[in-house]
Amino acid sequence: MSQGTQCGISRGWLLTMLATALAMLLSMLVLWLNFISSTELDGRYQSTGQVHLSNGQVLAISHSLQVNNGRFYAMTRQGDSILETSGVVEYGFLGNYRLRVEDGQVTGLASEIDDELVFNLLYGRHKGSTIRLTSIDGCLYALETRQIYCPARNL
Amino acid sequence: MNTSPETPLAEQESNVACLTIRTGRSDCYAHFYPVLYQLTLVKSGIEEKIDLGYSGSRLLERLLREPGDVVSREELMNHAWADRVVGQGSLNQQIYTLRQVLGDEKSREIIQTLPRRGYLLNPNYLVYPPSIDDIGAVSETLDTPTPQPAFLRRHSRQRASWLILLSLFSIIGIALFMALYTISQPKDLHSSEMNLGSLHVRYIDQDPQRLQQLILQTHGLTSRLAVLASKPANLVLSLRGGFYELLCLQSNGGARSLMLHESQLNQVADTQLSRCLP
Repeated sequence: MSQGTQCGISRGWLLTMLATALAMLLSMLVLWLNFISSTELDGRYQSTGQVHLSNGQVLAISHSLQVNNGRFYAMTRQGDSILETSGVVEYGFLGNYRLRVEDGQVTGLASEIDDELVFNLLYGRHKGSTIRLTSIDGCLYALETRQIYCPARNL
Repeated sequence: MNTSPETPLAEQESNVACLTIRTGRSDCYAHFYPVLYQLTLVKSGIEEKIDLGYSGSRLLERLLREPGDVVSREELMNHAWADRVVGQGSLNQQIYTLRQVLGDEKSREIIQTLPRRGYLLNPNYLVYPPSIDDIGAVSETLDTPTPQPAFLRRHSRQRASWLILLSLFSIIGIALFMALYTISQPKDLHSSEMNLGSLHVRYIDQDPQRLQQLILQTHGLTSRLAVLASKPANLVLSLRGGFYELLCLQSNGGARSLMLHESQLNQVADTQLSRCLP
C-alpha cells in the first residue's frame, strides 16, 4: 500500500509561496538593476555657454562637476560670479541622482544678474541643500540650480 | 530528547512524510517524522517540536509498523539499537519517555505492555494513515486526493494565514518603497520632438500645456537656428524660471548652453546662436 500523505503545506500553498518568493526576487532584481551605485557616476562633467540677462547683458557661463567615490565637487561661473560646492552623491536610481551640499560659497556676485540666477547660485551654496540630477540625452541636468553637466571624456 | 516550541512547522517538515497519533491529552495530536527522528505535538494551534533521538524514533517506528500487534522486547531492542548491545533498562527508559511524550505515562493505553511478551501500539490512537508503511516515500505524491482530518485542515488554514500575511507585508513593503521613491523623484518631464531642417529639437516641460506654448513661442528662435545650422544637431529647449534654456548637444558627448531671459527672446544675436550650435 503506497497511499501517501504529507503533513504540512499543501501543494496549492506551496505554489503560492513559491510564486510570492519569485515575485519578491524579481522585484529585488529590478531594483538592483535600476539602482546605480554613486561610484558609477565617478568622472568629470562640464558644459559651457552663455546667459542673456534681462538687461541685454551677455555673460559667459560654465559648469564643472567632479565626482569621486560618492563625493562631488562643483564649480559654476557666471561672468565674474563663481559658485563652488562640495558634498556627497546620495543615490542613483532610474537615471536620477541626488547631491547633498556640505559646503559651498559664492564669490563675486554681481548686482546686475537676474534674481532667478542669483537664487540658483545661493541655493547651491547652502549646507544641506539637495540638488536632483536627471538625465537628458546623456548629460545630467540639475533641476534646482539649472546646471548642465555632460561627460567631459571627449571634450 | 530536546523540545522546542515552534509555530509554524519548520520548513523541512512540510516536505517530509509523517504519521499522526492522537495523544493521551485532550485535543493534542502528535506528528511523527521517522526520517527526522522527530515528533511534533500540536495543541490548540501551538506546535512543539520534540527530538526523539535515533533509538526513540526507531522504537516508535517499529511499533507503528504493526499497530495492534505485539512486538517482542528482543525485536524492539534489535531494531532500536541495531549496532549496540544495551540492557533491558534502556528499552524501559525509551518506552517511558515515549509514553511521557504521548501523554500516556499514567493510562498506558497508547503503548501497552504485555507482560513477558512485549509491547504493542494501540491502533485506535492512530489518526492517519493507519500504519507507518502507508506514509510512503518522502517525495511520493498522492494518486488520488484524500480528505484531511479536521484538525489538519485547521492547521493548514493557520499556516495559510501566515503565508497570506507574509505575502501581504512583502507586497506592501515593496509598494511603499516604490511610492516613497517615486515621490522623492522629479516629476515626469513631458517632451515633444520636432525636426527642423537639419536640426532635431526636443522640447521639455513638466506641464503638457506649457509644452505647447513653448513650441509656439520659440518657433521664431528654432527657425533661425535651422537656418544657421551648418550640420545636423540635436537641441534641447525648455523654459524654466523666466529663462529659455537651449542645450546644443555636441557630437563628442559634450554640450553648449544658451540661457535667454524671456524678455530677450527676440533680441538674441545670430552670433550667440551660432556659438551654441556644433
